[in-house]
Amino acid sequence: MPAPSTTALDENTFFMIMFTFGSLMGLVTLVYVIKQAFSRQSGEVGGWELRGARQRIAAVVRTTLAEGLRARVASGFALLILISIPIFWLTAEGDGTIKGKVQMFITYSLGLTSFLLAVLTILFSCRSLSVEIASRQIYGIATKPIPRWQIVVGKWLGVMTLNVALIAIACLMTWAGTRANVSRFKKDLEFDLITYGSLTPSQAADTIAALANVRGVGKEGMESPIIASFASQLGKTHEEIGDMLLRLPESTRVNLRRFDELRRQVLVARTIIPAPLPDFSKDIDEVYKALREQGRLPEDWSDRRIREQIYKELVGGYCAIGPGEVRVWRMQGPPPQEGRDWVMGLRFKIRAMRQPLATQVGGITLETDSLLGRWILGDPRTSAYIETIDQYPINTFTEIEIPQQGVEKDGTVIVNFQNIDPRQIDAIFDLPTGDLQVLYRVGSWELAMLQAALAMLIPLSCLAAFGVCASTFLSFPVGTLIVLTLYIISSSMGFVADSLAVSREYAPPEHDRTLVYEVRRLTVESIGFALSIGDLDPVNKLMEGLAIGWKPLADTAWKYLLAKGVIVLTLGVFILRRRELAAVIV
Amino acid sequence: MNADQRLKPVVECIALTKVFRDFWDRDKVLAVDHVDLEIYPGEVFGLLGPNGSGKSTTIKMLLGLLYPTSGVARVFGKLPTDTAVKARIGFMPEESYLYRYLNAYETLDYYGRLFRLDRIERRRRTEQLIDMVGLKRAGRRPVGTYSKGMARRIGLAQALINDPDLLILDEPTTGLDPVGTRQIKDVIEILGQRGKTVLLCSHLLADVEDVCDRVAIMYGGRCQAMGAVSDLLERRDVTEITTGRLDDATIQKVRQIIEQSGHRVVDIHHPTDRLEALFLRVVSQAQRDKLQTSGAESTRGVSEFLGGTTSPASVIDTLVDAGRHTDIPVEVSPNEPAEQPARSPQVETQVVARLTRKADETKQNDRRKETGPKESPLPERKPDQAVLDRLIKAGSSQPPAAKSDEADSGKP
Repeated sequence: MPAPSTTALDENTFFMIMFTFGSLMGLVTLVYVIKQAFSRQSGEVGGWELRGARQRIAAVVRTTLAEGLRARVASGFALLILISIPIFWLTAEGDGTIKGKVQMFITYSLGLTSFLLAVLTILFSCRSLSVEIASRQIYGIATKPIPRWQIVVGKWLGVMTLNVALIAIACLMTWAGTRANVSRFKKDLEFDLITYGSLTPSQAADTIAALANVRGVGKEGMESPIIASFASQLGKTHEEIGDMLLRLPESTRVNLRRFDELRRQVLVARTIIPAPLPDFSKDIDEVYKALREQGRLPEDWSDRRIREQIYKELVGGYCAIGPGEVRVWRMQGPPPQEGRDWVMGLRFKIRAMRQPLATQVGGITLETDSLLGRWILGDPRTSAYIETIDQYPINTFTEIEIPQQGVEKDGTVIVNFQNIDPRQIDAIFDLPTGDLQVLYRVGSWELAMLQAALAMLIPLSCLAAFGVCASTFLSFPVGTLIVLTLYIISSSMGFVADSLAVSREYAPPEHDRTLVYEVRRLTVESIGFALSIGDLDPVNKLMEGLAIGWKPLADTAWKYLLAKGVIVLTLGVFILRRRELAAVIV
Repeated sequence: MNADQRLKPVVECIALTKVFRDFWDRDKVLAVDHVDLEIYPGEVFGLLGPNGSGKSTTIKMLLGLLYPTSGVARVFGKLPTDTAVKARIGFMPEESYLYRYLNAYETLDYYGRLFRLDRIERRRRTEQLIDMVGLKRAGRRPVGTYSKGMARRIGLAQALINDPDLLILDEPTTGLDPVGTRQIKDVIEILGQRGKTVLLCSHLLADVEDVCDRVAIMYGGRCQAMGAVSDLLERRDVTEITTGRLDDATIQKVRQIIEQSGHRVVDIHHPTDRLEALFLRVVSQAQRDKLQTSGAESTRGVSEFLGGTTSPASVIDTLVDAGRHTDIPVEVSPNEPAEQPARSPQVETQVVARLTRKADETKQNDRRKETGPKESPLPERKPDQAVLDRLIKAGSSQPPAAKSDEADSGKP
């Protein structure tokens, strides 16, 4: 007897069953909450006038901060941050080069800061009101003429003031540490130039100053632009500079290149343009038509599901580049700007259909987990293009720089990739998740740091709102547990989205959208919004010299700080105004 | 009973009921059961009852910390949950629930900010209240390190920071030493004289008896008896005559006269002093002798902004202390007592003028008291030398009399 098939239950039917169950549970909760809210005689009356609000809120903020710092909740975390950053500065080595060192220092110091601050925010905000209610300190406040909304806002602002202060300190320390790393590198280089390169101290100083004037990027088989910059600064020939550099220790020469990369790839603020996906709607129609004519449409599938499947396959086919195949992308960036630091970058992550194993081909060793590929940047029909062939590690981001001549005057970048790996493995760029991008400079590293700091504050403000709201009606341990769970889920949002089986890649045409589809889309999007806290991944972006950008920052702040934060805090205010603050003692 | 029935009541409860329910909304406890209550301006009202009689629940409903299940509570004609009402209320809870890591000054400053007092006023009131509750020396310590009594004193101070029109005290004397207890009574009296209303909730009958105009006795959530203290306590079937010490012959004559008029003498005895009065005198003397303590210190009457007066002694002390901290070095012979630095004539004149004003104010205050002579605030009391001698006879090697005289001689 065949086993009953689990796929027999239609996806939408299953969704509707779960949706109905979830809605029922939600309805029961809602009825209970409404009943609780309106069953008692009344909650707080009035208190909406703004006169004196600033002074009272400021008083709550001050006391919250003073208590938090003196109770060693906040001060312990602050101390941990302040101690760890100098330790990271001393110990972070990375791959041993100046670039690796700086990147690791930034990741460790700001990564730890943002994690510790998230935990601190959760603990601090969840204890803010719950502990005061449990220990009855709230009697002293609730009997004073301060409206309860001002207490809630004061508590939230208290937590956020601490966060702002600690982020400012951590960023300042990271900035200073990075600058110190750079100047230490320059000092070491100066020493090497004098000792091994036989330069006078003033020549060495000039040479180091010339590092800031390096234009363009080097490519395989061509002279490094660093040599040109040094030669023009010192008034020497390229050969003399080449000889001088050869006398330097190997590690110093490597570091020179890495420093140039650091200058252009890390200590800058760059923005990203992802490789676009073509419009597949016509192709979908064609494939659909062909399948119908051939009578190959699955009978028990809905029209929408078939089209979605076709779309997925088309995207998959477009993203996969078979052995020997070439794919061309046209990306539209801003028009090229004249500027000495102006360099574009190509950033990509290759995924392989199966694992490439090490092999020898024509005397060249092809490494495990790397693919041999050929990039042509710029229009190959003109002379202004750059070609590079290399083994690129799979499943990790690699960055190639495009010199200015690779970009057309209107800002169009033409990118060709050819899969020349002899192991016959498909190379895949998952374009919907941004596996192929063009990067360009939009400002200084300080700008990127400022935007990263602001971006770090958004999830913290959201967590603080949740924590303060939870503390209005939950005890400290319960509230902490719930907000901590939210934080963990939001940190692994990709996984949650996958588990919800959301297909956002393809939306059916307007006339084909069923009610179930809309309900499902809205449900999934609301759950996604409810569970996320607006994490823009600022630390990793800063480590890669990526600016978050004011628009994404404003959009996220609006969505998570103003919309979500205010909704959650309003809920907290509502609960605190309705609830009885005294304990039941008879 | 001094309540004026024509006035609008400050506190009004109509069939006030509170039922505590469980999670499933089932009635669990009937804490307050149809209580009707009216408290008028200027009244000192005592809410009496054994533990669990519903006193605290009633008070919490009047403060908006609990909401009535049925019935109405009004304070100053408004619902207790109205934020506007709270500006006129001072509340001292049954225990001091304070921020453990703030010190006394910061605590009072915080509460002052919630009342939107300006910086100068906050500072003035904070200083005066801390001085009043005797925590000047411990004022910079975190409140978490205070003893229970000291925390209660800060609890009293915070309840008075806004000079409230209605002061609600929940078990105010619990955990307080007799000095603190006396002080709370002084505060209540002075606020009462200024026309403020006080609602006192306690199960310590002596405290209530001393200060309250009217009381209600609660039991099982209901109001069992209510009325003026004098009416409730007067024993109309007994007469008590108080006079100076009489010899046996005189007593015999009095007894005969009473018996001739057809009455019976029930008891003749020498009245004993109350232990509270004795305790206060002893502590007062020790404070005059400037004995060190790490706890609460001498209490300087009731704060000026509350209508009390700072005692003349404290003003002098302040000036003398200021003189001691002068930069001019004073040569002191090891065997001779140091002379106090001479005050400038100008300062002297100011002091005298200020003291005269204070004395006048005190007299006026005394005259205003309608209920006959009451005990004046602590520092103005004369030490009972006989009592002190009796107590210190065994222990001290230094005769206290000399110190006492010295201390007294320095004060007008």
